[in-house]
Formats: sequence, C-alpha cells, structure tokens
Amino acid sequence: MPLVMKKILIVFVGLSILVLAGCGGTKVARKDVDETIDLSGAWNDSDSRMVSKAMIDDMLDQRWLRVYKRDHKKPPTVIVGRVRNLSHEHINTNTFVADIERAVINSGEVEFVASRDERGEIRDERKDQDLHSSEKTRKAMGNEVGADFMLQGSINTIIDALKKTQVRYYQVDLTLISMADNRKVWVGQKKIKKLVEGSELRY
Amino acid sequence: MLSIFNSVVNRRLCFALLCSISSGCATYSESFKPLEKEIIAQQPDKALKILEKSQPSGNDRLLYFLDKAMFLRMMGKFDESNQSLEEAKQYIKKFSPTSITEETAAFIVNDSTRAFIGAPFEQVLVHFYAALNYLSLGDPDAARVEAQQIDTKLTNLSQYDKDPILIADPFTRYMTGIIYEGLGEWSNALIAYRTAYAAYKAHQKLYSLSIPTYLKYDLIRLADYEGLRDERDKYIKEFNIKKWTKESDLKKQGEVVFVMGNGLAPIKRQHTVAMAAINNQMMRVSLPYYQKRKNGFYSARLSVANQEAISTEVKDINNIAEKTLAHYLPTITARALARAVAKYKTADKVGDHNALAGFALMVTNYATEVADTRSWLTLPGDIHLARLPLAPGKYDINLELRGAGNQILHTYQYKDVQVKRGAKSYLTYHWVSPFALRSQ
Repeated sequence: MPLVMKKILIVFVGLSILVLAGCGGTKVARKDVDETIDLSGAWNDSDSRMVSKAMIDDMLDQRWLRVYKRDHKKPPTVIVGRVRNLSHEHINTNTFVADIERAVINSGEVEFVASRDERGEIRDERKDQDLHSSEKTRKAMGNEVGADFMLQGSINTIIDALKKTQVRYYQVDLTLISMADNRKVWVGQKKIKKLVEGSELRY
Repeated sequence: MLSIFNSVVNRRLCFALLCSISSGCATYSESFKPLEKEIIAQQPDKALKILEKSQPSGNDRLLYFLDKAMFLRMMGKFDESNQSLEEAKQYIKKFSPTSITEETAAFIVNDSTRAFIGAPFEQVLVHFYAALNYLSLGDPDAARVEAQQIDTKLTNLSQYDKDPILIADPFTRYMTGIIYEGLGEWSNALIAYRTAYAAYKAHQKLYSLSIPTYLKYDLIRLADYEGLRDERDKYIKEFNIKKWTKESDLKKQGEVVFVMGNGLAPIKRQHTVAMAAINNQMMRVSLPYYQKRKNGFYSARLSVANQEAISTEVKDINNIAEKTLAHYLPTITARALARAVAKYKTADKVGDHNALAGFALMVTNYATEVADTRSWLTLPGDIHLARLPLAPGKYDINLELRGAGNQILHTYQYKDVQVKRGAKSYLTYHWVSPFALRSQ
C-alpha cells in the first residue's frame, strides 16, 4: 500500500473512532434502591430515607409512647401534618412524608390516620357509597378515628460557599404535638453535612 | 501577497464580497425579529410556536429555556414556565466553569462560540421569575426557596467580582423581603429590606434611580415591629415620613402585590469599530452595544372601588444591562483585538505559502468576526411595583397603564382576586407597547 493511502486510512480510522465514541446513546444501569448515589450534592432519596428512618426510630424509642400506652392501654393515633421546606432547594417533602409514614406504620407501635388531602377523597367515596353501595357493604359517615398527635416539621439548610465549593448543612426538625392540649411530647432533630466541590474548568 | 489586490477595482470587488459574506452571518439578536412581532401583538402562544420551530441549540440553548419560560408565563402557564427555568438553572450550573475548548474557539473564531450562561443580572432574574411563578401558583414556600437561592447566587457572585452592578441587586433583594414578610418571617424580611436599601443606594451612584417609596415604608414598619426604635427613627428622619401604618394594623388586612414588566429589555447590536486593510489583508473588530427599546407606559394604576395604588419603577433593566456590558467591554475588546491580530497573522502566514488558501482564510476570518449579541431578550425593559392593602374579600381589580402625559394606553381587569387577612396576593403582568420596536 502506498504511504499516502496508509495515511488516509489511519485518518479515516481515527475519525471513525471519534464519531463512534460520540454515538454512545443512553446507558441504563439498575441500582439497589438502598444504594447511596450522590450526583449534584442536592437533597436526594438517600437523605430522605436515612433521615426519616433515624428520626422515627428515635421517636418510637422515647418516653411519650410508653406513657401513652400505659395510660390509655392502646397505641396512639398519629397524623402527619405539614413538613415545611425552608431550605434553599426545591425538596419534594411528599416523598419525605411518605417515608415517615411508612417507617411509623411498619413499626406497629403507632396507628395512623389519613392526612387532610387523603381524607377528602375518602369522604367523597363514602358519600358515593351512600348512594350506590348495598346496605351490607356501605360504610357509614362519622366513624373516623380522630388523631391523638400531629407530627409537624421543617427542613432547613445553611449554605457556606466559596466559589465552586459548598458546604451544605441540612437540619430536619420534627415535632410531635398532642392534639388535645398542644403539648409537645417529642422533638427530634437530624443533621446532614455535605461538602460539594465543583470545578472552575471544564473541557 | 495576492495579485488579486493589485488593482483598485479588484480591491473594491473584494470588499463588496466580504460585506455580502459577513451580512450572511446574522447575529443572534437579528434572529429575534419574528418573535418580537408576536410579543407586541400579545400573542405569546404564537411566539412560543415560532421559538419551538427554530430552537436555539448548542451554545445558545439557555436562551431557548429563558424565552420559553417567559412566553409560558405570559400565557399563565406558571408551572410549565418553572420547568423551563429549572432547566435554565441546570444549564447555567453545568456551563459556568470556564471551558478550555470554547475559550480557544473564541480566540480563533468569535465570542459566540462560548456557551451563553447569561450576565449576572440575568442569572439572578431566573430565580426572580421562578419566585413570581410560584407566588402566582399560590406556593409561597417554593418562592421562599427561590429567595434563598437568590441570596446564595448573589453571595457567590460577590466572590468573583465586587462591582455593585453585578452583585447588588436592589429589587430582587426587595422582592425576597416581600416573600419573607408574606410568610411572617419578620426578621428575615427586615434584613432583606435593609440589604435592598443598601443596594439601591449603591446603584444610585451608577445611574439615575430613585429608592421606591414602598421600601421606605417597609423599613420603618418592620424596624418598629422588631422593636428597633433607633433604627425606625433613623428611617423616619431620613425619609421624612410622618404617617405610616403599623404592622399590627396591616396584618388585619390583606395586600395585593403587583409586579409589572414594562416593554422589552434592550437588544444587543454589533458595530464594527475597526476595519483596516494591512498588507492587502482585510480585517475588522466587531463589538456589541445595547440599543434601548421604547418602553411604553409611565405608570400603572391599580384600582378597586375607591382605593388605588400607583406603581413605581423598581428595576431599570435598561440601565443595568448597559452598565453590565460596560463592565465587561474592556475584556471583550481586548479579546477581539487579540483575535484580530491572531487571525491576521495566520492568514498572512498561510498566504505566503499558498495565495488562494490565504485569501480563503482571510475571507473566513472576516466573515466570522461578529460580536456576541446574545442576551435574554424577552425580559422587560423595566419593572414596576404597586402594593395595595385591602380588606379581606374577593375583588375585581382594574389595571390602567398610563403614558407620560397621563393618557390611558392599556387597560386590563383581574377577576375574582382573593384577598386573605394577613396574607399577600400576587398579580403580575407584562405589557409591550406597539412602539417597542422603535429604538429610543
């Protein structure tokens, strides 16, 4: 093969590799849901899961639960109120609230009632049953269980940044308040600190 | 070097050729014309369709997200608008680090080869409009998140540059104060009002601007509410305000906060500041400048029954954009000059070996030398604010836009605005005058 042809071939192969390298397409890898994957440093599913679990473990381990069970001979009924996002990120507090509900219900220590939004739909359904369901299967109104305690909270952040490097400090506060007399029976707090280092240069 | 230049006729021919080639390389701002017409005709949906058809891609992608968000806002689709603004935020974050390849290309070709991430004031306005969208959606907590992000952004910007035009954003700071106050966070609100006041004073030194009267009342009221009597009295003396409403009285009522965009932001054009023929080579240096639009109304009047509020200008994007460009112009000029020299040298060297290749390179160099005229063009030229305290209830609120001679230019009615005790209801509007395209 003449030298010129060889050179052309090398350039052609080189270019082909470059072009093919750019045509990678989408790659998908399945991961375990419990695996922690940090991409941007923002609040993510792992934070939500870890914080809710740690806080609920703490809540169920405290004195208020033993006192209530001793006095009332039944597990308390709890409702999850609002968890306010006071952070600098758009955090989906619904998933956090769902994580809390799951952790509490699964513990079996506490009974849960549906939240304000969920109740609306159920009441509509009950009204509908009143009209259309048979007497045997119809569920009467006015039999709802009132909650004994409400769980409220907030997610706060403090950001300390220098150029592209950030320290993100998350603080989640949860408070359990007695519906009868506004007493705070439990206050929980969980903190997360992350160091996020960005680059000043890119390719 | 080239025999083609030997006669005067040939030189003129060549010049004509270069001019026609360079006119083919349209700048970004020129491509905005079809969208402008639809905005003026108050047809944001049609403007969005045009934008979707010819989406700016690659390095101009941010402009697509920003313009799309503004059109969706104008259409009342606040949720979708915020999705686009989120994409804009991600883009800015991703492309903020300096790119080695883009910088090299900018040195060889022109500044438009760099990814557009917006000027600091544009980056902050992304959060501002996201906050407004959330407020319109009745989600003040999410608007608060944007307020936090504005603070983080401005603090971060101040670590790179200390020029108040880039880092002191008076109205955005003021707006964060209003958001905090709406949520009952009095100390956060007072801090934001103080910062806004300092920022207004810093900007006052750079261009003609008056401190909004509303802010003066806010400072007095909240300093009083927080028990800071000395500070309150200092403001009373400084602003010469004798009558003001106490926070406890204001809380018994509701308040309508009205944010109004006026006209369109200035548009960047290019002008060729140097064009020379050295050693038979044509070379030029093109730089951007801002051209203001006619902004339309002079004041907005919000009225219901026998109560009214007159708007006041709170943010002068025209001037902020101009001063921002002036801040960066020395760097842009230095880069353009260095590029011109480099382009000249390479074409000259290539021409020494091969006359035709040298000529071709010179033509390319000349044609690609265009100024970077990219900017967020769907922004208003300035922003007005009006605050109208009202007793709780449902209202039809009238809006009148008036010209400098107090003549009515445009009217609009907001139906069934719900005003709740101790809460704020947010109304927004963006009006572009039919004369906006006539430059000032």
